[in-house]
Amino acid sequence: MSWYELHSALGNIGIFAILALSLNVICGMTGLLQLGQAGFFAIGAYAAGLTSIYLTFPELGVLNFAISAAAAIIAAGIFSIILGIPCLRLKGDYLAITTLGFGEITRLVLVNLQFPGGKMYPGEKIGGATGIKFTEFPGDLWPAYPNYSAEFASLWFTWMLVIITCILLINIKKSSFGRAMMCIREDEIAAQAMGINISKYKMMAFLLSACIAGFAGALFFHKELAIAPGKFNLICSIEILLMIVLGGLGSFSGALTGAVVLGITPYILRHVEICGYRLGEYQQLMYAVLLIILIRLAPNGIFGMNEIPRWWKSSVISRRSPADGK
Amino acid sequence: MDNFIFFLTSGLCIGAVYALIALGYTLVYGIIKLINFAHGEFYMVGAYAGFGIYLVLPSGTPAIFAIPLIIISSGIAGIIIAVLTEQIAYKPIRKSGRLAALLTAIGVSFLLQNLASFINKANPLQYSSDKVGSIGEICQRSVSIGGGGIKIIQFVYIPVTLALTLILWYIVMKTNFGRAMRAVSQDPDAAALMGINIDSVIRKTFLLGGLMAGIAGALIGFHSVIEPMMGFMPGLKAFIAAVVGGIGSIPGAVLGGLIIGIVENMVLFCNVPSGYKDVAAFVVLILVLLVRPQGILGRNTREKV
Repeated sequence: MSWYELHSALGNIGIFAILALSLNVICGMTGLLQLGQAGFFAIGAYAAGLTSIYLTFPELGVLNFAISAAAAIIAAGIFSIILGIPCLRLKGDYLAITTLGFGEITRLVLVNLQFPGGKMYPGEKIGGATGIKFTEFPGDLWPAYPNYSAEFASLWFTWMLVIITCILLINIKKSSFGRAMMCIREDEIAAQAMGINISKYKMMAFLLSACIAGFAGALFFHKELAIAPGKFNLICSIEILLMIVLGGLGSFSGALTGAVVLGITPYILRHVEICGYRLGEYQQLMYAVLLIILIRLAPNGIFGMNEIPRWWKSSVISRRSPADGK
Repeated sequence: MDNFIFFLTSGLCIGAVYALIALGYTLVYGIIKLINFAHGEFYMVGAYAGFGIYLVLPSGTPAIFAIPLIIISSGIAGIIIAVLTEQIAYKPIRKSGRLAALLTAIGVSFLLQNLASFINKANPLQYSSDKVGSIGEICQRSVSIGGGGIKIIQFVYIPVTLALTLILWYIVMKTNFGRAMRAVSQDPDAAALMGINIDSVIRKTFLLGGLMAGIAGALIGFHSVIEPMMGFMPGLKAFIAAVVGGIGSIPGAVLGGLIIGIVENMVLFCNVPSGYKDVAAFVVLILVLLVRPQGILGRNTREKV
C-alpha cells in the first residue's frame, strides 16, 4: 500500500466516520430509519463545491473553507426542513422508503442539473453526470491556488473534526435533548405522555443529522476536489447504515468503530488474493454477505446502545459500583 | 394530442408490469410487514431464467409455444428464488424485529445483484432479432399508435396482469389458503392459535409473489436488455405503487402500478427531460403519503397503546 493510498483511505474513513455519526443521531438515537443520508451528503458536497467555484477569494485564505462549509451546512439544513416537515409524520417503513426516495431524487436531479460555470469555467456549463470539479482559475490569476483546498481537508484536520463531532454528540446524548430523542425511540406514545413534543424533537434530530452530513459533504469535496453524482447512490447510504449497525445502533463510539472497521476492510481486501480472485473486486458482494451474517449473529452490533461496551463495563467498572451492573 | 395516446398506451403497458411486481410486495408486506427489497431481484432472476430457456430452445420453435414456455419457466425460477430467500435469509430473523428484517432484505437484494453480475460479468443480454420469425424479431416488431411505435409484445402485458390478478384475487378471497393468509396478516398469534401453520402460509405467500415477479421479468426481458441491475428501479417503483394504492390491497397494487406507469409517461408527454422520469414516482409517493398515508384504497388503522 503506497503512502498516497493510505493517506486517501484514512481521509475517506474520517469523512465516513462523520457520516456514520450523523446517521446515528436519527437512526440510532431517535429510531427513525433514514435510508437517504447520501442525499444530504451530496447536497453538502455540491453546495461546498459550487460555493468554492463561484466565491473563492485568495485574500480570505482559510475563510474560504469556512464559507463553503457553512454553505454546505445551511443547504443541507434547508433541505432537511423541506423534507422533514411533511415526511416526519410518517412512521417506520414508510419513512424509510420516503427518505430512500429523497436520496435517489437528489442523485437523479444532480445527474440532470446543469450549473453556470462561474468565473472558473466562464461561458461553460458544469454539473450533469460528470459532476463538478475544482481546478485552477483561468489565466494566471491565482497560480497554484487549488492547493489551499487540499490543505484544509488534510488528515489531521478531518480526524480532529471526527473527534470533535463524536464528543459533541456524546454530550448531546447526555443532555435533555438526547434523552428526549431516546425516549421517542423507545415509545412515542409514552414520550408524548411525558410531555415531550415529538414533532419538535424529531425535526431537531433530523436537522442536526442532515447538517452534520452536509458538513461531511463539504470535507469530501475539499478532499477530492472533483465530485460526481454517481458517488452518492443508495449503496453509499447503505454503507453508512451498515457502519452504525456494525458498531451498534445508538452508540456513537460504536458508529466510529464501525466506520473504521468497514472503511479499512476494502483496502485490506484489495491486497488479498484467493485462488487468483482478487477479493477487492467483490467488495459489494462481501458487504452484502457481511450484512446478512451480521444481522443474524449480532443484531445489536459491537457496542449495543452503550458508549462503552457492556463486557468492558462489567469487567472493569461494575466492580466499583455493583448497583450499575444490571 | 396524438402523442398523448402514445404515452398513455405506453404507460398502461409498463404500469401493468409494475402492477405485477407490486402484487408481490403487497402480499409479503401484508403478511410479515417486511419491505422485501429483494423482490426486484426476483424479477431480475425471472428475466435471466427466461433468457436461459430461450437459449436452450431449438431455433425453429414457433413463437406461439416459445413465449408461454418462457413465461412459465420464468415464473418457476421466480418461485424458487423467492422461497429459497425466505427459507434461508428471512425465516431465521423473523423474531428479531422489523429493522433487522429490513436490513436483511437490503442485504439479500445486494447479494443477488452482485451474484448476477459475478456470473454474467455485467454484460447486458438481449433476445437476438437477426432472423425473421425468431422470438427476438417478433418481440421487436412494433405498431404505430398515436405518433409513436409500441412493441407488439407490450400488448401481452395487460391481459397477463389481469389474468394473474384475478387468479390471485380468487386465491386470497375464495380459498381456504386465502382465508389463512388474511388471518395471518390480521394477527399472526391468534391465527397460530386457530391451527394455522404460519410458516407454511408465509412460504406460500413468497411463492405467489415470486411467481408474479418472475413472470414480470420474462415480460420485460422480451424487448429490453437483461442486466444485473435491472430489478432495482422497477422494484422500487413497484413498491411505491403498492404504497400509493394502499399496501395489503390487491386492487390497490394494480391501481398503483398503472398510476405510476402512466404518470411516468405523462412526465415525458409534458416535455420534461427524460432524465427526470424516475423522479416522478417518488414525487407521487410523497404527495400520496401526505394526503392519504394509508394509500388510495388502503384501510386506515388506528394506533392503540
